[in-house]
Amino acid sequence: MKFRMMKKFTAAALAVVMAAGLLSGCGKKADTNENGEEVVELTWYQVGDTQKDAQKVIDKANEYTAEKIGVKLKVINVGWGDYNQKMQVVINTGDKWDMCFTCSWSNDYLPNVNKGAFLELDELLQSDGKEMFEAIDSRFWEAAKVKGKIYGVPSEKEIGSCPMWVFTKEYVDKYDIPYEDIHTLEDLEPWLQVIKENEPEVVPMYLTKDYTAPTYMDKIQDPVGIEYDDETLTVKNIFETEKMKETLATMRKYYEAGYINKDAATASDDKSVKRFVTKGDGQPYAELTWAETLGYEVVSSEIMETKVTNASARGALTAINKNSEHPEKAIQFLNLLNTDLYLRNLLNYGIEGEHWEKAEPDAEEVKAAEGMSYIYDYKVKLNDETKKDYSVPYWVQGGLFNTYVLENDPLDKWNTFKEFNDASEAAPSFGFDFDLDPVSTQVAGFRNVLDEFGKSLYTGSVDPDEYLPKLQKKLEATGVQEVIDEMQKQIDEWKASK
Amino acid sequence: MTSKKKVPAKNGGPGFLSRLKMNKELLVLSIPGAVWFLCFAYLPLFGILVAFKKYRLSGGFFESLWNSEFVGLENFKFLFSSGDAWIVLRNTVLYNFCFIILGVVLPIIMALLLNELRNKTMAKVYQSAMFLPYFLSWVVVSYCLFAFLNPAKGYFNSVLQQFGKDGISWYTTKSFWPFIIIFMSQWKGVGYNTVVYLASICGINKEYYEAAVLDGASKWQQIKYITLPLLKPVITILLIMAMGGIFKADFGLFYQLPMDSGPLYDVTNVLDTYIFRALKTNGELGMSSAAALFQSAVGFILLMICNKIVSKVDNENALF
Amino acid sequence: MTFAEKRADKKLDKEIRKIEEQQCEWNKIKKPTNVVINIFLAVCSFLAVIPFIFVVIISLTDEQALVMNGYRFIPEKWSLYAYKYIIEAGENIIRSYGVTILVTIAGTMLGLLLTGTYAYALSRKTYAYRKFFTTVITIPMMFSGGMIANYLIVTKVLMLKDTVWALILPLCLNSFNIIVLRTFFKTSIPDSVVESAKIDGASEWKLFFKIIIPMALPGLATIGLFLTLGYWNDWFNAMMYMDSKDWVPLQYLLIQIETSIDWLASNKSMMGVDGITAAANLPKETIKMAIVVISTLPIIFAYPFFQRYFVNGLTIGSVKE
Repeated sequence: MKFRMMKKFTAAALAVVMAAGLLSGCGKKADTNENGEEVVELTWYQVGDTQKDAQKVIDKANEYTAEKIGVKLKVINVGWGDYNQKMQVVINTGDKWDMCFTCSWSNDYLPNVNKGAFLELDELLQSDGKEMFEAIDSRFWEAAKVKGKIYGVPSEKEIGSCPMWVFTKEYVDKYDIPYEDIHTLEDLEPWLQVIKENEPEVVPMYLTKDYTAPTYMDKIQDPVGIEYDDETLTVKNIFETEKMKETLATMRKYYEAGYINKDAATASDDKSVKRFVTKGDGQPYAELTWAETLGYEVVSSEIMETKVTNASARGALTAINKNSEHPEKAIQFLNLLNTDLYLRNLLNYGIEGEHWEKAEPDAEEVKAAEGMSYIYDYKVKLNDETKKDYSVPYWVQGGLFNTYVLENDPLDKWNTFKEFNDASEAAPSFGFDFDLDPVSTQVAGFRNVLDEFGKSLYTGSVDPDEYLPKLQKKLEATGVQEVIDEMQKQIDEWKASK
Repeated sequence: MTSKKKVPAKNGGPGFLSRLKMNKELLVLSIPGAVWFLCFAYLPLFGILVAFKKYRLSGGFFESLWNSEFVGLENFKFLFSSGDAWIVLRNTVLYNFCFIILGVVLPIIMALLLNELRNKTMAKVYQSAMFLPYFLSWVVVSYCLFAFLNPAKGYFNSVLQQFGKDGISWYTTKSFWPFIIIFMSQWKGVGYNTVVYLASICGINKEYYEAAVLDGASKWQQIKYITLPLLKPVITILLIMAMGGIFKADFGLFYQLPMDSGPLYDVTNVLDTYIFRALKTNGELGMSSAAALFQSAVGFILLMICNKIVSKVDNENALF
Repeated sequence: MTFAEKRADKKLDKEIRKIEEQQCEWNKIKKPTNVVINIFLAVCSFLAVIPFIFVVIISLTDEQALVMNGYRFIPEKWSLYAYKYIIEAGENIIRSYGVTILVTIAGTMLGLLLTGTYAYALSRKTYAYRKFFTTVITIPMMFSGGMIANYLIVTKVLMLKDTVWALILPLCLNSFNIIVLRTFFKTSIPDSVVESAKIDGASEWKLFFKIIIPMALPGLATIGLFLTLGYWNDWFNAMMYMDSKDWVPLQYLLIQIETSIDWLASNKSMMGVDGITAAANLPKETIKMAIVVISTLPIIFAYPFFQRYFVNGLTIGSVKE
């Protein structure tokens, strides 16, 4: 009887396994022709979770692009947390892909370029991508250059990083605080005190674990870099700069005075905590976004002038595989995407009539915006029912400036962005890329040291007099001086060649 | 209980073919598994080469691997270059040592208790309950733990405050964490680990106990003279295999649970978290391969040593 | 199986149980000891269950109340919103359920078959190639080619990308399970049983299915349980090998949300406002916890299912035939 049972089991096992095999056997596609032109399929890896209606939107886009340039898309979305790892595998194994999202903080642009993963685009841009090359701000192209060559098409958005103090409007109004005049860390002090004395329920300065104290330096390879105002291009360790030492001492003072929440070094943003001020990394109209997530109004003030660094200007790019079979098609597609209103908005907001409707802007707004650039005839009114089925991060696929703005955004939003970008000043180190190959062992050791002490020091949770030397000692043991020397050598060469 | 071998397999001196014929049936049984190992374990082994290369792309993977510069042991250096190397190694080995010991002792106690329960239904309920933590990822567990240890609103601190004491800043106080980590790891794993021992105890021939009871042995004596000795092969084999993993740590346990809190690194930084942080900025493929190879190689040596010792003492129970 | 056979079978089972019960009563622990052990185990169980209850409670908490008060055992306001959301977003989750169940069942069966045959051969002392095949499984226990090499083999050599096999095959065998099962075979099956069967002229194949499997049921059940849990909790293979969204298992759905939230939170300073907008699109905390509940509930029953086979005294059953 037992034998029979086992036979049955084996038969069942085989049946299930075969059924699984059958199910998996379907779904093969062949290239199709249309209008006599051969349609090629481009595989495009993007960061961000797959949307329910993604395929629908892409099908719609494919109709259009197949007709126009003979391109069809196969978009593969990979979740935020997995993107790095997945792309490392896809790229290193020489897997089949044509385009991918890359930037300075995920699927990192520079190491991939150095590794030889991405295609040089300079020639293609002249032959097949001229329109977009001219449309996108030249500084973005400048930033995309590694050793003089361009390896990615930048998504046009804010170019600089702009740290801001974010104040809760309620208290600003109540105590009549001239927030626009507050810039440096030290400027905050009297007002922190006011809040501390009068509002016992409120945390005067609410910080979380991802907080970094105001940094007046381009940290090319954290913690090593060049100070913003240093035209001599002297490489320094940030923890040895006077400015950072002062900042840390001030942070400690605030912490001890009780201005800062006690759990700052480990806290993750708890929106129920009432706070007076916190730090945010901003861009024009960031207040609207912050207010929306927090649920109350905020106002903000810039901590320092916005600086353009390689990292900030490489916020989002699309690169093409060095081994792609259709590099021209890929660049033609990107060119179309970055210059064609219909396609860009389709991929950005979904299908018109299903995910969004065109909305007429106010006549007054239209009038006020006259003569500005990046002003379009319509705004976008998202469909409340279906917007959750298609909502992609707006800068992953292409630039922002040729998308319609959302209904409750100002019509001249992109114009303001453009002005913001034009006003942003380049850091002296802008354009310099550090080749860390000679010191990769030392650099690998940094993160552990920085993560161990950084958060506690930045938030003032520990005494810098005691812990800063400890940090320094560990950094030295890891070889920070060698990295500084190497970087200085490279930057001198770069300066000479400029 | 063992009688001499009936089939003269090894040393009888038959030729290759006749030996093959004699073992034909068993060979057929092991072939499917061997094919699997060939495909999924041996073919990918060439990947180890990356550890000695500075991997740069120049076409497909093999082409790239071939063309990449050979750098010898360069990729291994970062493991030892920082001042933390000693602390990291110490933490990894000490924690794993605790886990190995507790991972044997606690589950056996649990299995014995569950086995002796008079009410078998309750035994099932308890065992199922203790299995639950295994299903929760460390991320979810870390949220739950945070609800207790949260310095501002956590349950522990509110209890402390009710007794008029100051709250403790749990996530910055080192001294609690070795205990918390060991407790949580056992809490999560004990249900799972108990199963093997429970099944082994079930597999023990009842006749032994019957004979023992006839001789008037107490429960304790039965455990000591029958159950434990008969569990020895399983315990030994699991111990040997655990030794092989002594340089590997459960990433989530050491990273998610302490919320990656810097002040705790002295007691929470282990090889896996160290490597993760080191390669976060850099991401050199050769370095991650080198790190994995280092962990494996040391584990392999330890495993072989343990196996050797065991086979000297008691050949029957060794791995091979 | 005929009716008569079935009945005879049942009868026999009953008799066995009776004998067992008699034996048991005879060698049971004292009542007070039983109470003490019960209390101890109840406390342990309670500790083990708390976080899960906690997760269930969070999944039933009103999102707004959660933001305001953080995690609470007794929330200010209850809400079924998370579950409603999941049911409405339905399709995906139900499909993923199907994938997970299919993969788990198929994988466990295949895995048991492969692990069982391999381990059995290794457990036989007369097997001339025993040492060789033991070495074959020992080396991969420690060394692996790494993610990149595995990916290459699975996608380029075995051509499994975007097929369900990529979820089943990589997990169906492992050295640990084989060695544990081999040990079970070695300890629970007396050599005399094998030898007498060999004398009767039974083939190894028949011996394995007819005698070994029934005798080693607790061991097989253990491995079966391990395999089931392994498949149920697996998301890594889906992340690596599944570009098409047709084969997303439940755990990957969950892990994706978890890692995304985690990643966006820790890279906030690098992404600025972009990170905030990206995070705003992710499912809320309560929904995440609801998915944890939904993905964990069915697998809770895996243990009792396999535990049925943890029965003593199967020797009688095998000798009978």
